[in-house]
Amino acid sequence: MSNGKRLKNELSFFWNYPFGYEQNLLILFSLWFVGLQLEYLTRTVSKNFLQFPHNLYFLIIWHLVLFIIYFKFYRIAKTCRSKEFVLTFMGGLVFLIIISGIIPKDIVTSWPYLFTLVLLTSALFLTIIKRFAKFSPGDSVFLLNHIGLWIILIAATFGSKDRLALKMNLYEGKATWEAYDQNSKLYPLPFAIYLSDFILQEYPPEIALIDEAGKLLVKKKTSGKKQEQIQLNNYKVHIDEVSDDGVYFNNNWKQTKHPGSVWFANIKVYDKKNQQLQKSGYIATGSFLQTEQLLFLKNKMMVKYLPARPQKFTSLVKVFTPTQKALETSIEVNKPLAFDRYQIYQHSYDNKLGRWSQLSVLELVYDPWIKIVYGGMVILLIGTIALVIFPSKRRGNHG
Amino acid sequence: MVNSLLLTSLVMFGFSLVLGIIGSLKNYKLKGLRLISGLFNISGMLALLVLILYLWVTHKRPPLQTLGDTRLWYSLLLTICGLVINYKLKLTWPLWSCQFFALIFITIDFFNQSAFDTLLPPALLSIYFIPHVVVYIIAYALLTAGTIIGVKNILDNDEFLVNSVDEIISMGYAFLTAGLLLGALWAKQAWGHYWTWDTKETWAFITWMIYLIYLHLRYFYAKKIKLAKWYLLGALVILFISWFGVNYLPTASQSIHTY
Repeated sequence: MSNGKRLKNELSFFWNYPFGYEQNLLILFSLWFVGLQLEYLTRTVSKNFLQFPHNLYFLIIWHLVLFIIYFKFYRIAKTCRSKEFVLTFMGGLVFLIIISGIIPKDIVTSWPYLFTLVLLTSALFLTIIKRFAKFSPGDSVFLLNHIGLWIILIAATFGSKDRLALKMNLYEGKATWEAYDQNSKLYPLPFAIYLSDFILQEYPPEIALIDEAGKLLVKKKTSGKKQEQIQLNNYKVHIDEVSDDGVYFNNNWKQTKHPGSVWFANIKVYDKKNQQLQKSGYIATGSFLQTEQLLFLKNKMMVKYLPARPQKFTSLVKVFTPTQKALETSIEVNKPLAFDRYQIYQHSYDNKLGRWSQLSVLELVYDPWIKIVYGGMVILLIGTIALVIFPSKRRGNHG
Repeated sequence: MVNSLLLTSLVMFGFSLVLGIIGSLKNYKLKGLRLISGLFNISGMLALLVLILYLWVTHKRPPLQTLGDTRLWYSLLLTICGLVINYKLKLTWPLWSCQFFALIFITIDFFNQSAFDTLLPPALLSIYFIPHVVVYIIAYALLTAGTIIGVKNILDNDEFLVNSVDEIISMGYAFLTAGLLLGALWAKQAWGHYWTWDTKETWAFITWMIYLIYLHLRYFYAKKIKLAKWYLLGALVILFISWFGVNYLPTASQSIHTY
């Protein structure tokens, strides 16, 4: 027998059905290798088959092919549903996601990931058809779990590029009717939003004890109310007076509503052991208008307010359309507004101006696939709960 | 107050664990030892419960939001799991292991007491927060308890225990799924997208996949018990990475959860 023929024989022996882990791993690694090459060659080309209508065509053709495989190519279908295939590709997918969880790189839109996902979801789909073909009520839990997951995986992956996220810069007292995407491309909107007011509500600032080297020793929350007593390690702090509208003027702290006003407090610091007054004076947070004020103790330690942290961002807005009455409402973090085809979110504001920001940035999100993903989530959730109530039967070692 | 309650629970669980082990070494000949150990255990749990209630009252919110809080609930739920297993299956070592884990996590809290005092950014003030965290902590406690029983089982193969482990793990997996999906719904409401492959999300998904693979391993290879047990041990490591290890990964700085 010639060498070539022997090699051919050995190869055909290797690729004999049923495939074991060696064959499946070889398929997986080859796909990754090809995927990496493809990634390198087409790095400037965007994956527009993830975009409507290409994604829809792709999904339809792909699943038609799976139906053909199921009915005409029994061996391929069986190989794809085998434990070796399923576990290899699940492991492969997890491996890629772990890499993306360690190295900050966008792996989940890369070709190797997409190939792995497509083959794994193919196995999932073939398994679903198989169970449907031989349906018995005992398969319901199995089907719920697998169909739910299948819907989520394909809708979330192949619908991802159809999601449109736009930003909108609103200024107090002005109406805006256009939004822009991440490439600063402008989109005219069928409605306008008028910003009546942007409100940033803050937590009362934390009070901290800092040592001479500038190291924070301890910090405590404050209530923002006067006559409060707070312990900072060996010191007891009495807050006699406090306000969030402080302006330093003529060598004195005044309470007045003014852009750039800050939290300030008149405090007395006592030694905890002998109850002796160490120092008294003012502390204040800083803003674009004035620097923060610290209180130095005798041993060069200091007491200060940490910058106040935001508690709530609210945009009070009016939404206008050419035909309807103006809608007066508010948009907060965690309380988006649903309008037209968009979900409208509070996104950001002018950080430098803080609560005096005149700017409020909203994010408008349109995601046509979201209802399908949510549908999949509901099915999966019902399936998992059912899994606990009706534990599955084992297929055993030789299934 | 926080300090002394943490210390109390530490001491109580510690005594309970030591007395329990001594009792079993002496084959329970010393009467009353088991009872005293049980009492110490209950006292430790009560101390944790009082601490949780104390934090609830003083912070005017359920203590379910900081890492410190989750460690408290986890310790409490884990020892409850241990107690239930102890009562139902008449096994003592799961209880000891649960106590041991609880001791570790309470110790971490003891040295990081400022963790309870975090001010919450607006994105965390959501109706999804509490169900999301509660479901996750239950999942973590169940998966840990299942792993503890499972790993011990490497040494002695017991058909009944193997089934118990699988049931506990699939229950944990169900809670994990619910937690993941609740997190996705919440992310949509807070950040406008249900999935952004943020580091925490990525690792939560990895953990979920890892336990999904476990279920498939058990389905395909029901008889390979040793493999399953070692796998569970590895899975628990992944679970701990996604719980608090992610903060130390190079990808953490890219996290969008900083609103």
